[in-house]
Amino acid sequence: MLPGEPFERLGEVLQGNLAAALNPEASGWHSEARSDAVAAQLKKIAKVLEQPASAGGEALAGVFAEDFSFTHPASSQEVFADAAFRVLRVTEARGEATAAKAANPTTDRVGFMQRLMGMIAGASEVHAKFKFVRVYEEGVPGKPGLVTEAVLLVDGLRDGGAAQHNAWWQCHWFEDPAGKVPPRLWSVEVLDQHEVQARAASPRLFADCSEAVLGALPAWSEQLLPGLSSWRARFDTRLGLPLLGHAAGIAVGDVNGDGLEDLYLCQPGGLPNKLLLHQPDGRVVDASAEAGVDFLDFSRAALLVDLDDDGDRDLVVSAAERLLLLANDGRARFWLAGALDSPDTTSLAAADIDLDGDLDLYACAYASPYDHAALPVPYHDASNGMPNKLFENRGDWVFVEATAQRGLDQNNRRFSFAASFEDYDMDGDPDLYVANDFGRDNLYRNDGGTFRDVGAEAGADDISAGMGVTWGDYDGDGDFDLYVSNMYSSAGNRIAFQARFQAEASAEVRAHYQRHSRGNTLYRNEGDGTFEDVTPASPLNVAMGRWAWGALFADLNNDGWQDLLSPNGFLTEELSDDL
Amino acid sequence: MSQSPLEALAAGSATVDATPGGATLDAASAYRSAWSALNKLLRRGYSWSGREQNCAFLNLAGRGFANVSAASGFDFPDDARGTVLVDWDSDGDQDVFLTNRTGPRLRFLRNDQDTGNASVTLELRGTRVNRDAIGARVELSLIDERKEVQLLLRGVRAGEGYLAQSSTRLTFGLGAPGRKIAGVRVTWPGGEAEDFGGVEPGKAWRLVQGSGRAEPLELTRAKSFAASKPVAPPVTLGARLALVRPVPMPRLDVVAENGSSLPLFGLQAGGAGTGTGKSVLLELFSTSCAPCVRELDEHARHATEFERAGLAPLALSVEPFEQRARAAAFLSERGWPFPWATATPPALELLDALAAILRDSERRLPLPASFLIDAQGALRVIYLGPVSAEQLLRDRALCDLGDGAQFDAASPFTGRWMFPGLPSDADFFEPRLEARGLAGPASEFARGRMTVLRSTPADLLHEFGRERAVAGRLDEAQKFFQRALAADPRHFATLSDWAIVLHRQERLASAAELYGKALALDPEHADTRFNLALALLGLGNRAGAESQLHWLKARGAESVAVLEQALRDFGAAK
Repeated sequence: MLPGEPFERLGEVLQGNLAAALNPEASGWHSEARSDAVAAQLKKIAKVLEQPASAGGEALAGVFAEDFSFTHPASSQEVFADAAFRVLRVTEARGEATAAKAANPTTDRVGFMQRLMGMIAGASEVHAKFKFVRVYEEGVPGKPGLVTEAVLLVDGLRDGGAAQHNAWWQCHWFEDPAGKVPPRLWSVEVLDQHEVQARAASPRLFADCSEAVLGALPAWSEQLLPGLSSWRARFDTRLGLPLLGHAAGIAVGDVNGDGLEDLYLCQPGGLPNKLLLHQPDGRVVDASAEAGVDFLDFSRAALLVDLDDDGDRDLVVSAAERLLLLANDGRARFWLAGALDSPDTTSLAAADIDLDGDLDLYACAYASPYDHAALPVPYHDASNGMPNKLFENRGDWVFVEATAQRGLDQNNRRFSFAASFEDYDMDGDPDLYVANDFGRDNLYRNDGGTFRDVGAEAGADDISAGMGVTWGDYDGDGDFDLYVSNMYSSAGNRIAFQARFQAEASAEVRAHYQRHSRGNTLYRNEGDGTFEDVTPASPLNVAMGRWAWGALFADLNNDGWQDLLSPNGFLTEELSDDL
Repeated sequence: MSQSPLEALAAGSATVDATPGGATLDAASAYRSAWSALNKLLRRGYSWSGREQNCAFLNLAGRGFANVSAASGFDFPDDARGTVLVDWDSDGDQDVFLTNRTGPRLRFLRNDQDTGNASVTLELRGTRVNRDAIGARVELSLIDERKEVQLLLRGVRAGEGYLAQSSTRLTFGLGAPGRKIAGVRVTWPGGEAEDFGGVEPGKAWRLVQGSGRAEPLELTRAKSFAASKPVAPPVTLGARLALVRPVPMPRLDVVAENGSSLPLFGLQAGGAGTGTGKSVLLELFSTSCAPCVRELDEHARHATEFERAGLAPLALSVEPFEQRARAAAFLSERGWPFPWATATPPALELLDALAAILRDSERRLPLPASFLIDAQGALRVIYLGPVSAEQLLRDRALCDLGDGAQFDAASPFTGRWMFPGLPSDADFFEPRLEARGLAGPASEFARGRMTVLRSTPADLLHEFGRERAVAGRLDEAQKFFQRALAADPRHFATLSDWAIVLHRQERLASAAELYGKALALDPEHADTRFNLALALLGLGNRAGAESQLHWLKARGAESVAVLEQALRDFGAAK
């Protein structure tokens, strides 16, 4: 533990979250109670957007102050158009010259609602949702009282395809000093807004074809359809079913040489891992048992890689606190060729780190505070996790742990979730990025087979709660940029930006906490060995990938530009209360 | 199921039983308390950043990104974890598989784009580097009619995102038709660059290191699939929890109708339970619980079958002893043919704690709830919510199962276990009961631990098995080995000796599997590796045997010559 980094910081963060869910008033986070009250008001507006027919009555009674005003940019412009999507963006208000801002027109509540309803006029299946991202209890200059920032997400289906509006607002609320009536909306100012129209022939770009591909498997309805919570309720926990899950590893590779790529899927304890062989009709058959890889042990991650250079994909799977090494005979029959000691493994990555022609293995390790394994200290920059390991391939299924020899023992006690190799400096050998929870990430530069953590000096150590990492040249300048998936927390954003949060802490520590809630990070490779954090401030952009896990660069619309996926969501249990 | 009466007990105490942040607590314990409070809430059914919708961001041709989560149809509210990209239907765009914590735990999203944009798929094949060219990068340059060049850069990786490995085939979107591929340069791991000719849009190509020319790659284009909306079954509180091994019951205090107190069960020194000589079914009920009424009535109708099966129900009222007249009247009204008693508050707390610990949950017991306990006083199955007489009569058989079979019965699914990492009862229950303030039962488990440390059952059982194996009594030997592994699944000597017995019986596949497990525990054990090689050879797996030979050679093992001869014989026999 570092001096001056007391334990109670997390206590406060967690208490803030718990307070929001339980009893904000009693916990002293009065702002959370006030934000709940204004959330209830915005919910009424969202409901009117979803059900315009209800707009006529008293649905919005008491929501608006008498002298309500709405300030919005005068125009929007098309910023993107191809055969898949058209994107319009309103001229950004925040940060622009006051003169331009003053020119922004304002309307009253009728004009405001007309504008909102216009967003999804004629659309069916409308969803509307507000999310609070900031609360200023003391107001902002020129505006005393409660000021909140909110994100509005509206979407629906139109004839031409799906439509989506995203808006970032600053809302100013009038509060009744006696506390008798709910807060009323005094003004709304648009900080950022964009509109997306999908133009695909199908209503949306992605279609859920899970059942068509997987539905014929007995395991689909018996094992895969129920969520982890179902299994936790029905199985002795000693089979291996920790709360967070994460028995969610998936690997793609052609294991039987038929040219079709197959899948290996990890499962929680008591449920067998699956080897799913891809059939010419696009469906899969379950070959787990015949292949000898239907492990019932709690399994987290897997790779399908050729480890013995015999031309087929072998299997590495983390199970039973080991990496099981399974050799493929070329016909998708596997035999156990070795096992490596590797407790609490999270993600796996393979690369030829010493350029000797075979693939070496890197295993991330965690120590879950959610299962009482370890508590991260200090919370925002922890260094008491399990060490990650590098296993060097010496041929013939001999793997030797060489973490320290290769320099990867540096800053190696963090809580690692994911790692990925890429030659970011283009010197011919694979470098390694490691995303860590509760603190800084590692960027290990490979110099001739020896690594050095240059995360801080390269400007890419991303102090936050890291969960995943992906490489892609998003700006088309010929080198690999980085996108790191992190925790995004609305409650954290509301609390960590208030003056009284960690009031006695240094500006640096406060900034760390604020950063912890910010969300995903986009790093631009500057081409000189350093990275620039180019994550936009707007919560409508790539930072707000929510509580994000396996984010990936992917060209979704085949236009040659790398888009981003940010799959997310932490823990959904049956109570609607969210901490 | 009705609300648990235990909820009322808990209601008096605060919902969050820590983090007051008072000056009396030091920082470290406040921190621990915060985590502990958080973990309790999560196990009580609260969500934390739950129901969040997956996000997708569109790259606006290098001019920033826009959130297209809903417009693209990617916004499923799953607790998503791993993501992989693969062109599953070989139509030239990126499809996605996602794994989730919530159900469905696997989703396939087909990319349905109708953009008219061209694409090309490249598969790299290393000859002097690793075969799948992991670590290579590809620069593809596009040129349009105005001679403007766009560079597309992609890497071949094994492991990216979270817990995921995407396809190593690279699908490049090429934008609006009409643009030409001006060049394809591969930089192989190590830095050697190679230009490839012959890559045309709209197809898949294999780029073999050193060839300089793309070969066509024939991929089967799948038919189109129907879209649907799979729905996960709701999580129910009712459950049948078959334990991975019998858990000896700590002492349970109940009060008979006449007021005499009846201590049941209890751990003996050494960790064994105290049985009643019969399989007992404890059935918790209250007179105001409608499902309890239905359950007790149904069980009463099956009294003869229960008796024949040697199953002795004991109804346990959860209502205060002072109100026993009501419970007595209630049971006599329905002609309850079995004994009954009143559970003391400590007994209720203990049963509640056992069920919660075994589910890793902080939820209270529902009513009805039943506990199936074998004749030796060990808990076998917990039922939360009603259980039918039919199910109970089936589960009665579990009470007679040995440890290994009981373990297999804990999951209804078939598959293979590597090393079920089961903590000992003492290690598992003692701290958890202690944390719940149940010091008495915790200390009973602690007494068990002392004895376990003195004797090591797995060693003894292995020794018995080994003696019998040496005497040629192979079937008996295996029974002991099975029990030894049930006591300690990581017992190396048992694994390797049992494998040898199987090997002698020509059960080569099973033998090879156990050799493999033994080697996973001790990879440096040369004799076991030699034995594995022979078993693999017997199975016709020459490559496997050879790989073991290389290993033995590298270590200068004495068995190398024997193995080389065996491989030659194998070759000659072919």
